[in-house]
Amino acid sequence: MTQPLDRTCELPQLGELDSDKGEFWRTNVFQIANSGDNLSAFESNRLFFNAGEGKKFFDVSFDSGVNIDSDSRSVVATDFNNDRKPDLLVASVGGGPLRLFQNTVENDNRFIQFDVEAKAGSNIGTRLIIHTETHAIYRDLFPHNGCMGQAPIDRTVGIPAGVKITSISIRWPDGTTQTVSNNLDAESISIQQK
Amino acid sequence: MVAGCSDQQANFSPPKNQISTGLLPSDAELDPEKQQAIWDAEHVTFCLEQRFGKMFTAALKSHDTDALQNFFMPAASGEWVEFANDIFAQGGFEEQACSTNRTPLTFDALLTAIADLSAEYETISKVGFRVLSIQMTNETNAIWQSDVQVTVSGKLDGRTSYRKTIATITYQAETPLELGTKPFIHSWVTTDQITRSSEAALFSEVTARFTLDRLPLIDNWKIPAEQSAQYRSQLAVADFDQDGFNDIAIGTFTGEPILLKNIGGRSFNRIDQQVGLRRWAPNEETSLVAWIDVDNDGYQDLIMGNRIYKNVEGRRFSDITSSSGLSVNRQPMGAAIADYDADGDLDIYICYQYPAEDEPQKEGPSPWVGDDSSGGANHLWQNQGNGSFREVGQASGVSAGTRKSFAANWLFYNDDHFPDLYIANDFGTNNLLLNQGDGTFEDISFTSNTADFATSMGVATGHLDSDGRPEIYVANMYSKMGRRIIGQVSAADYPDGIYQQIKGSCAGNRLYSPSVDDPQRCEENSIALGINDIGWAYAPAFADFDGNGWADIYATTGFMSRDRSKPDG
Repeated sequence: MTQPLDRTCELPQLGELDSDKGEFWRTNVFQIANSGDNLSAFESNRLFFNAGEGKKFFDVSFDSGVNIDSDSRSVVATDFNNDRKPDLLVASVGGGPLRLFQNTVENDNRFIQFDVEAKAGSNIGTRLIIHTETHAIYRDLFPHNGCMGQAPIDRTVGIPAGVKITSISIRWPDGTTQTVSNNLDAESISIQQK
Repeated sequence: MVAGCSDQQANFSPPKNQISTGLLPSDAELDPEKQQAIWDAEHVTFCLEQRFGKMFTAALKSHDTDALQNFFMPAASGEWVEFANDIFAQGGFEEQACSTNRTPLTFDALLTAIADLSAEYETISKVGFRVLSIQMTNETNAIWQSDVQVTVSGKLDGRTSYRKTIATITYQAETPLELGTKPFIHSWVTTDQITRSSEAALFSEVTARFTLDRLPLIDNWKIPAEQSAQYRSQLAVADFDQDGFNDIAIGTFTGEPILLKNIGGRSFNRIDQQVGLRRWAPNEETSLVAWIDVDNDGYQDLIMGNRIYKNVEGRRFSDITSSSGLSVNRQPMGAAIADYDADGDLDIYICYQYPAEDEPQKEGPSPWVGDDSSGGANHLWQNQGNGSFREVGQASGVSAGTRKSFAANWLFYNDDHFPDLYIANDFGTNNLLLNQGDGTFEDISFTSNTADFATSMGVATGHLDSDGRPEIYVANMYSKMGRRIIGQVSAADYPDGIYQQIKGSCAGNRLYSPSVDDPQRCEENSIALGINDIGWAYAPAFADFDGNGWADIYATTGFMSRDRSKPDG
């Protein structure tokens, strides 16, 4: 009846239920977790492909293979088989506690690996700007933790088929900057702080 | 447009002086007549979905046009929105949306259009029917109007295909328990439709091949309901032994910690005991897990539960908890790692849901909305550079008050090299904290329009465009039922500020992008971009899955599932 206003609040049943079809009422929504009832149940995880500039997203969940209807909590998106494509490790409280999905997207795009080495200290907090013929790709190197799942820093960058990297700008964790304009066709690019 | 969502894109952060704290006043209770009206509407909705909906989807699946005809009044009218000419294509994926043109349909043409939703499919895997909104339009004759969503998925022209149709239907529901048993629909106006198809699945499950199905982890679906838990594990992934393959550490809320070594990208071996991670005693803090290179030796050290271990060249782990000064308690929900003070070593931010024993304990029941006071202070542990840490959360202004924090991520919100912090909080407002570069943070949650009262549980930050300023994607609760109910109340039904917060409890995921017009503020665009109605959402993640140079989005969802044969709450 909209939400109860405090978490102990109980609201009375106000009418008949279609009990033949399983309609049910709980006087307090916080009772439901262990009641055996469904609540936001069998919802499918979602995958959206960015069509460019974040202006349009394709909902590709329906045929992604990762639209599982487990009660999922955490996810780590990173490469587990060294093909450089981000895979998905999903932890759930119901419907398979830990499930791994291998990225099988087939296209001619390239995944370039960047190994960056700060002069003193960690490379976490480095900002990479990969300038390409079509657009600039920003990558801030932090170990992402969306909810109960820490991913390693994402060192691979997708480059569309036929597109070249024109230069790379780096801002190191200490604030100094550097530009790289050589050997940009390599599949792995190592950059040391000067 | 779904009723109840029409002002979802307005100001998402209520004015600070309208945020209620502590217990909410009793006069915030909804008017009894309104409560009854909502009850009646939800009961009709239930019968529409579970009685008519089951018959309708069965008729679509079996292409039973006679059965479809029996749902409609003899003079039923209809309209149908046309598909647009453009087809968006990317890789093997295609999407065709609708135009704004609608065509009036005769009774026969309407039935044909509805039957055609599934008619062309070679095989049908699923047909769905959900009610998105409901309102009574004529009480005397029990006439109702609803936005309904029909989905069909299966194989079409050899491709996996998905079709979603949204229609406004007007119908008589004098006896809700009889919905679907006789003609009751007066009109059907299809307002939105979209088709998507693809050549091949994008991911392949390899759980069993990697032996991840053999771990001693509890699955709610395999135990009695009363033993179900809302949280069971945390994950942290890193290549701890520098063999080129990512390994997995798992912290469990009630069981053993687990460390899995990746064997050449083919399988995992459990090695926690072998490398010196100790067994857990009952009632120890076990949930937290995070990798952090404490001493910059290139090997990722490990926080596991309330212990911190030094990684000795990827071969074994040595417990350095006592010398580190780090103190972890209250089963934290996660940690965010960064060098916040840019001094060359990594610091730790830990999210808590509950107050510590030495913190003030809130008395009385906790409010459902506007709760910025019943949680615990988060901790920021500053690396001292000698293997030890010092807690500076309060002094730095990053403790996020006493909220129930679920997740935090470091990001470069402004253009300096000092990491800023976004914190997702349950029941209360979220925090965007701007690093001042002098060891302190300024809370700009409200001025940046990212406070997001929405019972948040997760957050992803990163670059979805190429403007150099990161997006913030916040995981919140959403349900179709919540949106239906919120669609029947308004700000006039509550004291100032309450409606905005209650509405946040079914906000859906929100995307904050720095405004082009006002760089100090963010704009919220999730509904327009189609990434809002995820569900009861937890962890979003950004990654470029298809390598096109643009970050994509994955989002987890689903609260508590027990029985597929029963309706959802």
